[in-house]
Amino acid sequence: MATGTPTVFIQIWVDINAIQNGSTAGLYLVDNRVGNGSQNEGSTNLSTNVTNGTTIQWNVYNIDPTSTAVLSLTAIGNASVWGAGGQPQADGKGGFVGQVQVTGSASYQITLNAQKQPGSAAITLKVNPGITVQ
Amino acid sequence: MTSTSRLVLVRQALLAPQASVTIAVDTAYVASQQGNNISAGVYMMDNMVNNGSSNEGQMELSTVVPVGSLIGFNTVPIYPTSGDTVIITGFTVSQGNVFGSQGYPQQQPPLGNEPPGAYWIGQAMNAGRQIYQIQIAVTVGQIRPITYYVNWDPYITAQ
Repeated sequence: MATGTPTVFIQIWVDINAIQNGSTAGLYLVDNRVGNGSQNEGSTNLSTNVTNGTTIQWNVYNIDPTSTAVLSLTAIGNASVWGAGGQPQADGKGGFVGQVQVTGSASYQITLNAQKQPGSAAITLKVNPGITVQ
Repeated sequence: MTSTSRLVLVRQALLAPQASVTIAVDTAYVASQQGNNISAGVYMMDNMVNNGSSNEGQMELSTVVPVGSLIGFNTVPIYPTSGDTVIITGFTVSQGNVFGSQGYPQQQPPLGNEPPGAYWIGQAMNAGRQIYQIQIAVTVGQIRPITYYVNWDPYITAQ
């Protein structure tokens, strides 16, 4: 179980007009670590650079703040850097929280669901950003 | 003698922009640059990539909208619990006339828990391409807050 207060934040911004099942179009990832070596900010290839032991929080947001679209993070996949006890889990408030417990580089998968209107068919989106733990 | 007063509630209609621009800011990075020019830490995304927008996720976003579109601009700190704030302090136009005088962005009531100034709406009144400047104020620290001003020049095309 991840411990600690999140200090690294990874935001997934969604253009609801552009998303499609099986595509990463309309998804943009940013973090608050560009001064610490993160790369590819603003893209689905975000590579986050953190120090070992850091607690990370992920959230998904709609670029259109007036939209009624329903967005939710549904899973963050396995990666070596989560170690034995840092696997990201739902925080009960719409985000996920995890902790890096092993140094190294890995990619991991984020899965989210989107409904363009409440009650409409869910679109499943997956992105595979990277993370480097030092 | 009696008097009657009537409470009249005026509910302002919430504008629903056809285009939205998010400006996500790494406030700690901006502060670390101590007022020098930056080329990172400020990320612009819009919901018009299917309409031809480009440079998504970068400072120099090029937004493409239909003429007449309302365009919302919303600033957010990437570290939401830091206490740092990001607001828009103004817009200027250096080339082109998409906003015209009528469509120049105006500050809107804040969204949710955002501070006043975080949300503005403009309108693309005229066809063409425009280079505009957004200035944001990034305030970090809560005991002795320091505000850094950042401005840059993205694009809007109305067609």
